[in-house]
Amino acid sequence: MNKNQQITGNYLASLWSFFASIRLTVVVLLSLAALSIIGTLIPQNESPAQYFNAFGPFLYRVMEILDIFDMYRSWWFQSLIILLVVNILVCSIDRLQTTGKIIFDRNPKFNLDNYRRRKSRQDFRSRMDPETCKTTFHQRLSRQFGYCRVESVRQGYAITAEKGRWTRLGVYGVHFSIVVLLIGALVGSMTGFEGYVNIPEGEATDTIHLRFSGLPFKLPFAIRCEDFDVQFYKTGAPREFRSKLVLLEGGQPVLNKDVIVNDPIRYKGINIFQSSYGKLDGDNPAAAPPKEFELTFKSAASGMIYSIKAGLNQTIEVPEGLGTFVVDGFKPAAQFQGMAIGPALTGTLTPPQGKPQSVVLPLKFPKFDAMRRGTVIIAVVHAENPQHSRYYTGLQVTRDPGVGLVYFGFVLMILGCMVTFFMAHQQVVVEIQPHGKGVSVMVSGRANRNKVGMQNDLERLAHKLAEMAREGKE
Amino acid sequence: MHYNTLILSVVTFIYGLAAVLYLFSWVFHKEAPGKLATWVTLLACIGNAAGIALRWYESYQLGGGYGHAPLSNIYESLTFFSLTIGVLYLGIERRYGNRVIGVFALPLAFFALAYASFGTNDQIQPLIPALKSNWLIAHVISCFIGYAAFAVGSGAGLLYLLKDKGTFNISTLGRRLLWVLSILIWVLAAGALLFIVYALFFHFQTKMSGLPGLSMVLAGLKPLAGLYIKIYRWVGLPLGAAFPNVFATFLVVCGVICALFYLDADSAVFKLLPELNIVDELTHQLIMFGFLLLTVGIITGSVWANSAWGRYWGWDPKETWSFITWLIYAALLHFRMMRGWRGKRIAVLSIVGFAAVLFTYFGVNLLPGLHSYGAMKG
Repeated sequence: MNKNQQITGNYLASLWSFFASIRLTVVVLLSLAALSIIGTLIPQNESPAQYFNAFGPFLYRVMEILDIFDMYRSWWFQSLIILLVVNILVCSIDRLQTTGKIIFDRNPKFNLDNYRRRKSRQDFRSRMDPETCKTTFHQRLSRQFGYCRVESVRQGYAITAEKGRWTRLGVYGVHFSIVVLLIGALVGSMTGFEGYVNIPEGEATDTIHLRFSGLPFKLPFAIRCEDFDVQFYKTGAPREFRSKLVLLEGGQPVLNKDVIVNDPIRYKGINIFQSSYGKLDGDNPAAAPPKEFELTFKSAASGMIYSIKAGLNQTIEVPEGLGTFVVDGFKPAAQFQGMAIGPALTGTLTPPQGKPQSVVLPLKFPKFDAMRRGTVIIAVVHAENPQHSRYYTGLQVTRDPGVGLVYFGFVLMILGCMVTFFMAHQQVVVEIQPHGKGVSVMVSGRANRNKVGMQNDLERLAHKLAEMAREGKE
Repeated sequence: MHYNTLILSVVTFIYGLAAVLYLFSWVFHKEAPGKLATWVTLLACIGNAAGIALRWYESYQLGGGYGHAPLSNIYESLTFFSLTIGVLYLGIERRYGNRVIGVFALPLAFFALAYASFGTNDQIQPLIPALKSNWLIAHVISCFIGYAAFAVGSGAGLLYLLKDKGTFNISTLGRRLLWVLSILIWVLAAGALLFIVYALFFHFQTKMSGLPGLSMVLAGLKPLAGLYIKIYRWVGLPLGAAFPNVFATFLVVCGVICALFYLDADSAVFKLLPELNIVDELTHQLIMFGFLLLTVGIITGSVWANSAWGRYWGWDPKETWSFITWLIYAALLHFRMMRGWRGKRIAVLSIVGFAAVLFTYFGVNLLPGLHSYGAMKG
């Protein structure tokens, strides 16, 4: 029985030391790094058909089983992350006890011999008497160090001082921040959602589609897009996408805001981001007949070009007395002798003498009518669509209650790194021994991190104390 | 015509001059060129900063909503990168009182700026909507200071390996092979460098048309540069606008390393190198500093992504690669702080880490993802 317990105890102990090992940490860190590369080489979350075409049936099957196409959410990647978290927690608990003892020790022990043996010790002599020296140095040191105490050693004194004990906690801050981040991410993925919706101008909806699954999802409010506007730079690059949105609850407007990229709406924990846009008419904005157009009439006789604006079925007097012209139709996809010539106006030209002729005027080919070899060449310069084409706005809608935790983790991580890397627990010993008529002083110290910085600090301190001793004497 | 690109082109040469002076001072044991190099570097940094400031001002002069802090495309980030390397190096020189690191740091600043000047589009481009964010500025600044620290850190790591050559035990055959290899690399590098000089002068001439003398230099360089191009075509190497400089950087670095490894460990060249433990500590300090800034960079980028796209992390290739870089350096710090790794192993890891940084910056643009606006448009 007893033996059994011991064995279980041993197992537990070895399991504990497995999870508490730094070797495990670096193995997990480097495995995460190596495995993450896969997802950057193979685009994630594409359609199965694309993968199938790219890799063929066998590889596709294997990769699908291994979740390669959604690897960052696969069981094996997530298990590695959980392993890292367990490792962090066990390591922290394992070491926190020792650190706690150091931090909450009321009477820290300074082994003077250790300090005397240090190569970095600084020595100087002064003609100051030991008592004054002790008081002056003690004052100086207590200004700089949180803990400062004087002991009598041999014939003289030793001033022991230290600061920055709490900086030993920095590293726990960094590690805890990772756990906080991951909890935040977990909260987000369990209780939040991420979806998208396209809303045409002037319309409202309360149903979005979830990312990945594509399933419809009902929001607690409706979003109405009053207006969408896109601005461009001179170069043609987009300058701003702006959606005028109104949020409606029970048909009543509750919030009115323009959403642009980098400035989302945040309402009741739900965020609405400008993400894309498009034209409702699709790729063919010329599907509707133009309301107004500008035509040019080039007289074959004089070579003069006349520009005239007109609407559908409006009779135009052709200049130079060449007759009348009426645009009587519009073909979104006109054909000429079996050739597709795109959208075109059709019209009737009635010369002063002779029969009316039908004329085809493709919007894309202004020189088309020259082929007719008539007395006047007609071209369409500009055709305006009946209404400014309607846009829809593409919105990303998310809810992530974990963001607060994640941001807290961010702040903790930065602060923790700063403390861990650039601050240290410093301990200093200043020993004053009578020497002849004055004193001989030793300044020594150590730090748990940044030894070079500590060395510099010690040199500076020794220099300062020597200066004080000189001034105090004079 | 914008003066900022002109200034930054000139600054490229000043960095190059400083690099040469540092090298000269190191190889020939002369103090004077080293001192001069420090001042030249300072001048280059001031010019670099002025160029960036002027670019900022000129972007607002353009009107039409073009105005923005010059940190948005590859050209602008590289000019900032070279400035950071310059300033960081000067700080280290001041603190450690050793100029040898300049031999490794200044060429980085030179090549970064040379690459920016004629390998990328140096026009002031307006910001697309996603880039209009103050988080972007914080993101780019902290990332690039971090990258610069990693760059100089890997330089220090390399220095460590050079000084600590005794541990490598290169055989006689290895030594001979190394010698042949370094000659080969140097021949290729010389060609590439020549091409860069030619291209820089050419670039310079288009900026300052009609400058007498320049066209003569160009005429002189042209046959040689043409020969280089011919050799490259013959060997079958690609010859893009940006390729020769990246390649040349690589070659020069390889060449320097091979040549130095060929030298005897007790060669006079190594005498001037700082003590091993100081180099080791410097590497460590730089990596801690870089790691903090990379962390801040990833975090600010994440906050920015959350305001632009509604998610703080999306496993986009650029994000993933910055995460990979972060993990590599995190592993390095654990090796060092918890397992007491020192010296050679840390030096090697610092170089591996910087390779990951380079891939995060340059390589990722070859992969698909949201960050592709960072890609070259030139």
